[in-house]
Amino acid sequence: MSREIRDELRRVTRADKAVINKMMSYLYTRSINQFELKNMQAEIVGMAAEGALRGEKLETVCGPDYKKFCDELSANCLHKSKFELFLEVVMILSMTCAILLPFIYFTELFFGDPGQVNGIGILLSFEAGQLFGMLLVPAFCGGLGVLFYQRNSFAGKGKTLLLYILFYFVTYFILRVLSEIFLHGEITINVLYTAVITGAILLGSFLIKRSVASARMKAKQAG
Amino acid sequence: MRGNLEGCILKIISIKTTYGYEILEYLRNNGFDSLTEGTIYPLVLRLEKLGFVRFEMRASPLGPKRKYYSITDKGRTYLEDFEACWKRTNESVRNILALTEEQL
Repeated sequence: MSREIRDELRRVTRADKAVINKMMSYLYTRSINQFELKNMQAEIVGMAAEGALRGEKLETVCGPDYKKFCDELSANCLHKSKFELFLEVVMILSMTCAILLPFIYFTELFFGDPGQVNGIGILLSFEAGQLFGMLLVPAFCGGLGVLFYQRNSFAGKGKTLLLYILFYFVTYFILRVLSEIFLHGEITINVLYTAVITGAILLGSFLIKRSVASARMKAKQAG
Repeated sequence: MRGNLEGCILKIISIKTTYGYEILEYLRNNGFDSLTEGTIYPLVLRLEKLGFVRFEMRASPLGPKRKYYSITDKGRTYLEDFEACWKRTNESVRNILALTEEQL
């Protein structure tokens, strides 16, 4: 959030801030170009700030149905291209790796038996430590996911949640297999390779996505 | 209604470089009582997307920076078409409404 927006937010009431948060979360699910989204945030905050000066609530300024207002905004703005969406998926996957890999590694280190971790076959074993790790990691991340889903229930319906859980488990098992192959339950040079590759993919996808979004926004502004 | 509102907004912007709330005030003062900024803003955004208006950020004496809109050449052409179309429609509707039983 830019300093200008933060300054303007100070003039906005707490109730209006809550509405702005809902609007931004809703708009975030509409696949809008990141710079367009930032402009919209500035506009909405500006509207709320001006409304506050006139003693009007944001709901009076934008209309009572914020979703309808956001849908109309979304219909007239620049959306993410397929390439940007692809980069976003890569970014989310690498971010998931960056969070889960150390988590799996340390869970295994503390609760598993690193000496026996030497292949994919261990995935099927039910040693107490392994089982604990397998339950703890999905519980932690799944819990965060459900919390996010509940706060943004408009992002999808029941099917989306099921897909999310399925996607999560698939990712978890892929990562687990990768961690067995690369980490072997010990801190070796392989850990560094994994960390560097994950970090490079994360940073690379972030930077490319940002520059593509910026170029498209500039092209739009230039007409 | 939506198309007519866009035409009206464009007309206001063609007369004066102005910002969202001021456009709303002009519209409200001229009979569009129930409009809110939430109705105007998506329409102005659409006009901007179509290249009919451009904007610049200017400091406001009250507080936050405002987007001031001005009309483009493309917008002026569209406005001329809109005005011509509206005059024809207006004339047609007036003729229909003035019809009497004998004339049919």
